[in-house]
Amino acid sequence: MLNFKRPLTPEELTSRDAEWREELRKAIPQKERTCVPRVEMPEIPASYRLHTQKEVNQGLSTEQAVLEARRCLDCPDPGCMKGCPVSNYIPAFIKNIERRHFADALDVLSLTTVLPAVCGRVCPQEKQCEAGCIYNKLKKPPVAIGALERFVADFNREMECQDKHEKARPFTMANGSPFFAGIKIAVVGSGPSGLAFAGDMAKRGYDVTVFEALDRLGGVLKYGIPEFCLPKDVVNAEIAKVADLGVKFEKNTFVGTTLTYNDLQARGFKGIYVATGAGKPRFMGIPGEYLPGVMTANEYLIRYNLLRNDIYGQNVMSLNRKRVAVIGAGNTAMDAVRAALRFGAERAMIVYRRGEDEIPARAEEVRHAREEGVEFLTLHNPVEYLAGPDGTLRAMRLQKMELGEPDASGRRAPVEIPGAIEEVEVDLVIICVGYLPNPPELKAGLDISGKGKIVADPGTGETNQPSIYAGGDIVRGAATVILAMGDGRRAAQAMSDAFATLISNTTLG
Amino acid sequence: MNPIRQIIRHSAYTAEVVIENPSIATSARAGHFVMIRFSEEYPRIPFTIVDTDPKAGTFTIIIHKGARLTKVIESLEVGRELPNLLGPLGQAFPIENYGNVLCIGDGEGFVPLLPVMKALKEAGNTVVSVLSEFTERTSCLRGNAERYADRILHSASKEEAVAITESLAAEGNVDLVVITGPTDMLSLISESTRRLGIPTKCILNMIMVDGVGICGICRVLVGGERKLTCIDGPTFDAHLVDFDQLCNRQRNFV
Repeated sequence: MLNFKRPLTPEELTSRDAEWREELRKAIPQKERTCVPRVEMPEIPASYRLHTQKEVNQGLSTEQAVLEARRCLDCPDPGCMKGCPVSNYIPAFIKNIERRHFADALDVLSLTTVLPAVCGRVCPQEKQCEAGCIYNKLKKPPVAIGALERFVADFNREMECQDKHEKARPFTMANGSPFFAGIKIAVVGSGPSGLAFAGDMAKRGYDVTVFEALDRLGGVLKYGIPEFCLPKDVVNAEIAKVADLGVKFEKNTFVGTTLTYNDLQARGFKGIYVATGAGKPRFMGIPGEYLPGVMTANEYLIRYNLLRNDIYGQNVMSLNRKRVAVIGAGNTAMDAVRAALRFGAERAMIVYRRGEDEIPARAEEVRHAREEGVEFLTLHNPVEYLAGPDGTLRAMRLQKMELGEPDASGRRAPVEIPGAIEEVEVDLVIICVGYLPNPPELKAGLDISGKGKIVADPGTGETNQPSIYAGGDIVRGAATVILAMGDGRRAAQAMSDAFATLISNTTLG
Repeated sequence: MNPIRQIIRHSAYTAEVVIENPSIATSARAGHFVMIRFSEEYPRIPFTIVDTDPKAGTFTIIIHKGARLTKVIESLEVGRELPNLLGPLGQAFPIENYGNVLCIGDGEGFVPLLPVMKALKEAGNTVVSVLSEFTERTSCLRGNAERYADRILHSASKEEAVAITESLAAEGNVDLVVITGPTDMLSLISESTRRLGIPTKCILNMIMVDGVGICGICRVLVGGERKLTCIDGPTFDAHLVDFDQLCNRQRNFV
């Protein structure tokens, strides 16, 4: 029988000195813990994957999760937490798994994140929390923190769906205050940064409304990341939890265009968090980018994710027997190329100007792509797209590259091999060479950098306008879900502190 | 949300639809458009905001069956709500008193000209319009065009539209040309007015996916720069638009 007795305070759940934690540590010797092999995420086989939109990773079973949780040594100075952009209480939630307090584990995660099921799936854990795990020093694979985070979120969501236990309680924030209740806060953009900010502000007691331009909530989580990596139901469930905190959502509202800054002020919003993201596709500026048959990854993925994939009845998405090349090797590029395979592409290629080791996508996505049959043309850089006699795309000309000295990014710079040019026949090119910040339509005197980013304090999200904060990709340029969430949390803290100061000054003065 | 208030069925092919949305009714200007997703089965489709009535809190769009919207037109009924509607989007047409303005459109492609003609007329311009293809499909356009144009001319082909432009220009009384319609026609007329030295604006009719600048499908080269029709347009200086590339790009979609 599972024990769902709930402790009273977050401290009891998170403190390493809590009695239950000490008992757990004593229960199994460290030597025994380190002998448990790292769990392997169950996956559906590659042969089946191409014929379904179903999620590839199936998630850990309860027993797998508990066993994996046992591996965690509950370090006194946990390196994993330092690697987490939102400072999840990682050992605390893992130890709650170990003692089978799964609802408590979710409560622990909910203290710092509104999107555990999302982050457990799409975070680059190997570069963050898992990179800081003590196991790396023992020359063993780190604890599967991402898989465990996902387990906690999924387990509880399924239990709630079946009404098997009470809903996870959102703890009110330590610095929440009834004074904040009447303060209206607007959030521009319903992506990960906006959701994290909205969740934290609502927990503090603010009256929060999130505005979204598209007809779906979630931003890039919905239009960018495909079902087979991140099921829409999972995103919807996490958004529903944010709504449960009292956050209101207004879709089909393009702040700055259909609703101006002045309109927001007139509606009584006292603070604004701008998290409009970076979705404006970059192009390489090479000949042939305007040919029919060349599209951006966003166009491709929005059609795949949000729309019935036809244009006026003409299905452009069927790639039966087509040869598809995706230019770029980031996570979005992997999503696009794998989506192409699922639409029946005969040949699906990643074209990347750097080498294997420089591929920026998550290691797991690259592995999945390989298993599914994606070809990797690394050290190849497109220089031109060629039209056939009918004026549509026929082939791409690729310049072969070699690796030279490290460049500004620390990665070895690709250098052209003179004269080594290859022509590859292709029916569809999907450009995925990075994103620029969305045009900041919010005309409110915000400082904008040369590259179109909003200038904001990296620690607090403050902009040059006192009531406006900003974070996520609109400030950073295209980055990750978790970094965007971290910005949202810090901005919520900073904005709330500013209101608290304002209130105490007014009360005292 | 966004209930349909009135439907005027001009023909089996065309419906003028009046939708309630006070915010769009007051803020939309000539040249703006809305994105509508009628249901999950349809993509997001851009529609020109043809007219607004700020007092009634409504705006008007025109839907043509041609765009494979047969089922949509049939399913429309007064009172039905359109929850997924976003607007006004795009840049407004720069309305000022240019003098004599020639507005040329083709068939159902004439729709984006209607609000521009109205606004130009109100700004004191003399508006001459050239319409081609008069059929049952476009009958509704005629009535609207007649309301705002000082004079209406007809052309049977794009070549004739060019001839009309050139003869009017020869009389020396064209200060601005505004064109919409198929890209090959835009290209032809634009070439002609470039030779004649008459400022020309085109209103592009592009397929859009999101309408908020993230997919890039509506990209177009204007003066050598990449522009997005949804964000930077739909009105551009026709003499700067690379129509050859546009024609080639659109062949997949037509």
